[in-house]
Amino acid sequence: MIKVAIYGKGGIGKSTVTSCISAALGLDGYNVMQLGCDPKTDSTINLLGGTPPPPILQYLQEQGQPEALDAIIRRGFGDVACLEVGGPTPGVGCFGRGMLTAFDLLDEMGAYDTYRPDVVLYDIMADIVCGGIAVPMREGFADKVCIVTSGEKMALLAAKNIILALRNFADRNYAELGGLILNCRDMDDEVERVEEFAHKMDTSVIGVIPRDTAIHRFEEEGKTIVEGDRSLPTSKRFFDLGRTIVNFAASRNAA
Amino acid sequence: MKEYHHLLPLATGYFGVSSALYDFEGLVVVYGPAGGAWHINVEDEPRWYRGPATVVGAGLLEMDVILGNDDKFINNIVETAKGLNRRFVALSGTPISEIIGTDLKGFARTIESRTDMPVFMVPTAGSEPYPEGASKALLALADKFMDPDAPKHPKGINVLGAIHLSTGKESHLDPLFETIASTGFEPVGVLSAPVPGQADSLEGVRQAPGAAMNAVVSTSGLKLAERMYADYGIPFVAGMPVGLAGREAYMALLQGEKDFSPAKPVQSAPYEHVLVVGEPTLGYGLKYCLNHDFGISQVNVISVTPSDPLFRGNEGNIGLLAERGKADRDTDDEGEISKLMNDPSVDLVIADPCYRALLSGSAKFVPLPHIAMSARIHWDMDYEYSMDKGHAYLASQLLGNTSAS
Repeated sequence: MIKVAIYGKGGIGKSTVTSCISAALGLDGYNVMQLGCDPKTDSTINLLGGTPPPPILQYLQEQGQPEALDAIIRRGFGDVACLEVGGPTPGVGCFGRGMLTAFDLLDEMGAYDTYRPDVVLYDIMADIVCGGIAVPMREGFADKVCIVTSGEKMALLAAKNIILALRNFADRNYAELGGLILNCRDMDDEVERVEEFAHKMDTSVIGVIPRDTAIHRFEEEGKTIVEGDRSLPTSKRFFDLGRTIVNFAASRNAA
Repeated sequence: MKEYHHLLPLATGYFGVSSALYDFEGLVVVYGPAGGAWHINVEDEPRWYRGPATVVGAGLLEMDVILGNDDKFINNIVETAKGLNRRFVALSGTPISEIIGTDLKGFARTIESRTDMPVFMVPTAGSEPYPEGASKALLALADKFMDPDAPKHPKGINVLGAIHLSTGKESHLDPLFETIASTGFEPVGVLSAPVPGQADSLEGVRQAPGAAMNAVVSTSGLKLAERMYADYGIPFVAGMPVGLAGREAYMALLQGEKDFSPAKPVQSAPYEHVLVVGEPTLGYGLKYCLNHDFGISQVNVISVTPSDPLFRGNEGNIGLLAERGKADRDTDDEGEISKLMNDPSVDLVIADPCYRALLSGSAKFVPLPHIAMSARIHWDMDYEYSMDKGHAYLASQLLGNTSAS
């Protein structure tokens, strides 16, 4: 099993990229779990035809601890086990602390032993704005962190912050950096810009997703592009990314 | 909502941690606000008096919490631990770390890498009863120090759960150790204190997996006993033997006798309905003694910390010196305890001296300090509970005798 947290600047396309990777891995026969970590609960909607699963924190508040994990898990496209942390309404509460509660619950209820996923993807809402948002990096949660970025300055600054936070936590046995995923915005020399940034930060670009209107077209239908048309060149990029992520596990086991 | 007019709320989780680890020459760090550990040392920890503190607080201020000044905290601990030449560092959580979700496990990793000292985290929240904190501390200590390949001692025994908040001064357990020795067992590890005569305070912990038996003397030791049965196959006996019949029953349990029946009481105390208030393991030990040494049949135990762990009946428990009665109850609620103590049928109450303030009726009150309640106040009081010394103390209180029978 490999557990990967997907971080990046707000609005950069983390949920789109994560869902497409999940869908591709699911079609390739892997047992995948995707956990949306955003109070908007919209990480997994394109795997579920537009309907998210019951958010964990809301479930806890309204009904207490579920008797079985099935109460908070829905199977989506590619048989991906979809979960959403949920969280407070905007402007109140503390989402970061809530995320810790949800992660602890999954751990306590043996979610990983029960579902035995090959790959777990945590789709994290934003840049690391507080200690709570760093929870998925902690020991026992994600093994690797991948950062979705474009070539835009602000996206790269956010990526830099995340990398520095990870390195700051190195002696706490936190997750390791897996690499950058470039979600293109059609800038000039965008690939070169991000490659250069990756080199400077001593990491690599593990996937390049071109700007493709087909992604948005299928999302309007509540689908990922992988589900919509797996033969498209963009879909193939997600299959490649999926294989790279699975190889994280192989190299980790070898180490 | 619980209201306390005469009593203080009982010690909570991180007090249990400090109680369990205090004697092992480590540094217990309570992740709380500035001044948060002071009361542990000054008021609740009778073993500390003006020496280097074993328990320190994180000294958190408002801006530390807001800005997450983790490095400041970590550097302070590294400096303190090195300066005091401690054997290990234990980080214990409080409501602050629980609410803001502090990664104490991550801190422990960092401090360990910067000090080359064993460092571990005890996941307390500060809202749990103290035995739970102590129990978690003992498990963490075991994970860090126990040697799974320790040499086997066919007559070796560990004593688990001997934390000062429950069992008081170490000397109160002398009769227990003498009785254990008389059955041929030799102490390997005592959690929580160094084994007498061992130069290295943690040696007993390291060697504990080699013992053949565990003796659990408070609920704080039960989880560790269960873990040690699962990991090393060591069975355990649970209970605190009080009085003469208690000693006989306990020896029989240690020797694996299944059909032990106590002798008839040699004395009869002029009481008919007794209420015992306190830690459940000792509470049920007292009940056994009052039943069988003093012929009092109606004894109700009020456990101020959860008694359920005693009665779980888990695998590995080959003997239990406790029998739950229908009227026994778990509560630390002052109003409820007061009502039970002042029931007209109750003619004798045995409890920490602080509970005397709740008694308005004519029942006799026998003081038996519970350190988790009264801390330093009654630490030096002249009282006993274990084996023959416990019998002598109770006889002096119940019958006016001054010598052990």
